[in-house]
Amino acid sequence: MLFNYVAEPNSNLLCCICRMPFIEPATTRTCSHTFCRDCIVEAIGHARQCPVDRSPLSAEDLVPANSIIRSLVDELIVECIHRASGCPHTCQRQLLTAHIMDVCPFSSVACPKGECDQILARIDAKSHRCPHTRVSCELCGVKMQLDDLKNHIRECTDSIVTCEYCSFELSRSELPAHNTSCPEAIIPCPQGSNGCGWTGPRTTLASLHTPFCPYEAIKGFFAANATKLERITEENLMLRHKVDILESHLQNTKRELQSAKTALGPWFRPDGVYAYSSSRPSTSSDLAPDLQPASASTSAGRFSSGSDAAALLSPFDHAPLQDALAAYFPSNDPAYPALARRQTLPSGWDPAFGGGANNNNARASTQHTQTVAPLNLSTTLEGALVGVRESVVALSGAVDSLGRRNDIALTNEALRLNEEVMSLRANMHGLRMQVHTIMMDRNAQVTGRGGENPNNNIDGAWPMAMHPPRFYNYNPQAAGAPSITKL
Amino acid sequence: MALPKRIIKETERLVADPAPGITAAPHEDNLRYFDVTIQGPDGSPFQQGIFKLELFLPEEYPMAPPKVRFLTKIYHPNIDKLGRICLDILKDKWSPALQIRTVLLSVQALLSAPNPDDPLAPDVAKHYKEDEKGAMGVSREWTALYASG
Repeated sequence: MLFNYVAEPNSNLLCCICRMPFIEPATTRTCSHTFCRDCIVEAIGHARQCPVDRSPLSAEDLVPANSIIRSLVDELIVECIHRASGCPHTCQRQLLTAHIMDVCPFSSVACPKGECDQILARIDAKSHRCPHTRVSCELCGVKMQLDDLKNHIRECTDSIVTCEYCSFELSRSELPAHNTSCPEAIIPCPQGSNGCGWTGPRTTLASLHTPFCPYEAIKGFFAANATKLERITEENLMLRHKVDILESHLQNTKRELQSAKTALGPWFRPDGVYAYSSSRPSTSSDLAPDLQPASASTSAGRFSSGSDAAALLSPFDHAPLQDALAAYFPSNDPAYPALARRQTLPSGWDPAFGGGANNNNARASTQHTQTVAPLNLSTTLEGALVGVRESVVALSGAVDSLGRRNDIALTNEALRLNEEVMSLRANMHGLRMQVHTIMMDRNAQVTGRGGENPNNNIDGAWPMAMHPPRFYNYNPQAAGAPSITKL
Repeated sequence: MALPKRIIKETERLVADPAPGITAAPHEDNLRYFDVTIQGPDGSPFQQGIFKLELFLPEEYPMAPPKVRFLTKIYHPNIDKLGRICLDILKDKWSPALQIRTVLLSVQALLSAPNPDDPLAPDVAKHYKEDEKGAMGVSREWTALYASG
């Protein structure tokens, strides 16, 4: 609590920290300086020394100040803290709390009835009519809060009201019933909904207006019309509902179509030439590798690869042509393979055979129908693609195995030829040996006469044949030669 | 946050009963910020100079010291180029029993008694130690130059 002192306090009673008269003065045991308790505790928290002489200090060194000092500060005259609100009271500082608690008309108190949580000045508390006070309506006896009473009076069913037409006094609860029967009440013509603009007191309606009301005369027509209109409105509603349903269906269909288009991508063709699909050339070639001669399969492979590439690059480019010509060709004709086989001929191949109008692509496609499973259009696009991929994989396997077989055949052939060459060589050797023997014999006869001619060709070969047994030993490959020679 | 009563009282007293040669006035928009002037003490090289300072009372005041700084250039071994003051009561020797008035009186006393053994501006301190007369001459020149208005 901040005190306002009436007189300037003696400076000896001021705390040097807060510069105000001591509150709960505390004196240091070590150096006998006095401070407010709160001030010195906080100062020690910052620096453990006396603020006046900087001697070391701790909270344990603090003792309550001399009672004379305490009395001096407690008896200082202060103003009431509600002076600004209008309380002129001054008293000793130690008595101010009691004044505020019990007497001061401007201090805050709770609602004296204890029925609301409003805080108000004590001076107002006596006149305070708590809005939460429960009161009862004088007319109907219903209990309610004071706040609600004002609103209630305006609509209390037991309050007396006056009929605005006949000035009859009655309670509010009876007013609606009276209004339907009050003879003076202003009412409209019953035909008002059909266009009659008449209004007037109830008593004059039957006697003065109804006999002359033009709408009254044709009220049967109005009724019939109304029924008809109602029926039409109902029907209209139903139709509208139907249109709504159909529209939503259409929307759904459109959405589905759109998603199908998206899924199909380039496979989607809007103009409905789907007849092509059935006779379409298959882009997968599943050649049966073990049935076809190597030469035939290579040429067919070359051919089909060309047409495949064309079909993959532009799957629809050939479609109209193919479609237009489809009637001329047996699409899956079993006789066609014969024709397909002939396609390996060069392009000068007899045009009359195919009616002169088909082209290489068409021939390629028919070639495929012979060995390749047709494209299964009942599966999804993904399925078809997977099938195509599998076919390509199988094809590559087939080509691979074909290559291997070719290798093996080639190797076998080479081995055989090798053997043949070997045997020929052995034969040759045997022949040479025989010629050699003959020559030796001849030489023996000739040298017997001393005919040594160094320029003789046969003589040049002589030293080689000088030691035939050694020659055989040196060449083990030729070991079998004599036996072959003997054959 | 409301201004503590002590600051209000100190401000009132500084304005109503200023210490000789010292003025201090709070800013209107920030009552914790003071514009201060200190006259150079007679008999010092700063005689007849009027030095401007700024003083700020931090949130913790009076538990923490006020922050004081020279705004006028001054040639003094304990005051650096930025105007910061080397004074123990502004640092570790602060006590909540001290006030704005006592702080400013201490600063004024520092002008009378430079302490080159605890310098903040080493070149000035060196000058004061080696050639006190010459250094005091520079201080006088600076006072005439910067603190005469």
